[in-house]
Amino acid sequence: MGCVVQNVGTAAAVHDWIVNNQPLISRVTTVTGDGVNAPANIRARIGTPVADVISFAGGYTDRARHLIIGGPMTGKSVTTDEVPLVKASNCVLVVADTPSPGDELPCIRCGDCASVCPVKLLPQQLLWYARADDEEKLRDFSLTDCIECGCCDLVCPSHIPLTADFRKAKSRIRELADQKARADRAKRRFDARTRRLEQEHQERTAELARQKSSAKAAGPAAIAEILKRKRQKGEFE
Amino acid sequence: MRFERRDLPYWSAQTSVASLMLQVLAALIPAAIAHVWFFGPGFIFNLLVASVFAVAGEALMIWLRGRSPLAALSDYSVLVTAALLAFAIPSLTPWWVTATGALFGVIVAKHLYGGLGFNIFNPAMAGYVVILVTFPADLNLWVAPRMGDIDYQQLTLIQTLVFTLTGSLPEGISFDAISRATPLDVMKTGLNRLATVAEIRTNPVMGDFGGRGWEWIGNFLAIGGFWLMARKIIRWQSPLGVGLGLLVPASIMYLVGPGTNPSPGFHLFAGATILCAFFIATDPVSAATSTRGRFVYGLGIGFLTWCIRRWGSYADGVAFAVLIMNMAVPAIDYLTRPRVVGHSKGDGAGG
Repeated sequence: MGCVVQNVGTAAAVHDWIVNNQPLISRVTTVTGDGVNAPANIRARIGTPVADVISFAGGYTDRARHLIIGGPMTGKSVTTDEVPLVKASNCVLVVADTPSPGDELPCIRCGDCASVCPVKLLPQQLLWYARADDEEKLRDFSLTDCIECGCCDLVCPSHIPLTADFRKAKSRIRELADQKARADRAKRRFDARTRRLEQEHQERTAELARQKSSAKAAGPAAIAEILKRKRQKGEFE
Repeated sequence: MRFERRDLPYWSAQTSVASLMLQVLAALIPAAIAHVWFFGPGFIFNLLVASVFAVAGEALMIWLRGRSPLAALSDYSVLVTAALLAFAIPSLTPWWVTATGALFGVIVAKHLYGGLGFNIFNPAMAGYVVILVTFPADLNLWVAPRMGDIDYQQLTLIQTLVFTLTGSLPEGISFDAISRATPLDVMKTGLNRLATVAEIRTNPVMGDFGGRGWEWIGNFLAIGGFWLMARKIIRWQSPLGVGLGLLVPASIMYLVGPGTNPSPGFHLFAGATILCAFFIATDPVSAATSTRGRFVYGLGIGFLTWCIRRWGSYADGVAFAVLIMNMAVPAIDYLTRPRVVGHSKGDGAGG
C-alpha cells in the first residue's frame, strides 16, 4: 500500500534510540479493566512481572477473573500473572466475567464479517473450510493473510468465534507444513544413507576383487610371504 | 494470582440472528397493514396458517435431528419465511394450500438441506413455487383491491375465515364476483390478445404505474426495505441489482416498442418486484455473500424476472428467478471474491 503505520510507543522508542541514544529498556503499558482498582498508563521496565505492574495500579478488585496480555481484541488470555512484560506488551487487561452472548448459531452468511475484514478476506468461507479441515481451500482463500484482529467476531450475529477457529486452523496448517518438512528431511536422509551403503558395498567388492586378482598374479610364494609377515606382526592369532 | 483462560472473542457481538429476523418482521408491518386494507383480512389468516405450520414443521425437523426445538425456534427465521409466503399468496387461499407451501419450504427446502444457514434455496420461494404449480387455480384467485371506483365486493372477516378453513364461498357469492385478474395477468393475457399496452392499461385494476393497491403495498414494502438498509440489516447491492436487472431491459424494450412492452414503472410496481428486491434477494442464507456477488445475484434475479414476465407462461417470474439464481450462488461467490489486501490481481487468492 506504500505506507507504514507505526504506533506511538514504537515511534517514541525510535526517538529515544536515535536522539537520546537510549536502548529500549522500558515501555508504557495500559493497565485497565474492571478487575483493576486504579487503571493507569504505566511506564515499566521490560521484564517487570505483570503482578508488580498490577499492584502498582492498585491491585486486583474482587471481580478479576481473566488476565489478558495485549489489547481487548487480539490479546492473549493467560492463567498466571507471574509473567514478565515484554517489548510488545502494550496493554494488560484484567476483566470480570462477561455474560455469554448465547449459544453459537449456524452461520447465516450475512457477510458482515467480510465487510469489516481489514484485509478483505471472506471469513464465512474460511470458517467453512477451517471446520472441514480443507487445507488446500484455506490456502486458496488466503487464511494465512488473516491478521487475527477479531473484527469478524464482534459483528457476527451468530456469535461464532471466528478468530479462535482461524488461529487453530493456522496452527494446524503450520503443523502440517512442519510435518511435511520433517518427513521430507527424513526421506532425504534415508535416500542418502541407502546410496552411501550401496556405494560402500560396491567399493568393498571392487577392492576385494582387486586384492584377489593381484594376489593371484603374484603367485603362491608371494602369498605365503605375506601371510608370514602378517603373523610376525601379530595380525593373525 | 491464578486466572481462568478464556478463548477469543473477549467481547461479544451486540447483534443476534433473532434481532435481525425480528427487525425484518418489523419492516414488513406497514406493508402487511396495507395488504389487509387493500385485499381484506385473508392476509392475517394466511399469515397465521403459514406461521403455525412453518413453526410446527421446523420444530418437528429439529426434534427429528435430535436438537433442542426451542433454541432453534428462538431465532425467528422460520417466521420470516412464513411472512414472506403470506405476502406471496392471494388473500383468499384455503389453509391446506398455505400449509403445503409452508411445510415444503421449511421441511424440504430448509431442513433437508441442513437447516438455517445451509439451505441453498430460499424456503419461502421454494414453498411458493410448489403450491403455484400444484394449486394453480387457488393461487390465481386474487380479490379486487379496495379502491373507491373499482367494482369490488369484499368478504367479511367471518366469510374470509370460512373460506380459509373450507375453501368455499358463502351462498350467492361467486368467484367471478369477488376476484380480479392481477395486473400482471391482465397485461400478459392482453398482450397475448395482441392488445396494445395503452389499451390494456385502461383496465380498472391498473394504477399509476403498476396495479392499484399493489403499488401502495409496494411503497410500504420499500419503506420497510429502506429502513432495514439504514439499519444495515440488508445491503443496497442486491436491491439495486434486482432493480437494474429488471428495469434496464424493460426500459430499452419500452423505448423500442412501447405498444407491446409495458413501462419500467409497471414492472417495478406490479407483482412482487419490490418484495423481492428488499426481502427475498436480501435473504443472506440463499444469496451470494461477497459485495460484488450480491449485486450480480440481484442483477440475475431482475433480468430473469423480466425474461419470465416477457416470454414465460407465468405472469410473474420472481420466485422462479430467485430459485434459479440460488443455484448460481456458489459460482457467483467463487468468481467475485474480493482481492485480498497485499495480493496482486493475477494472484491465486482473490479474483
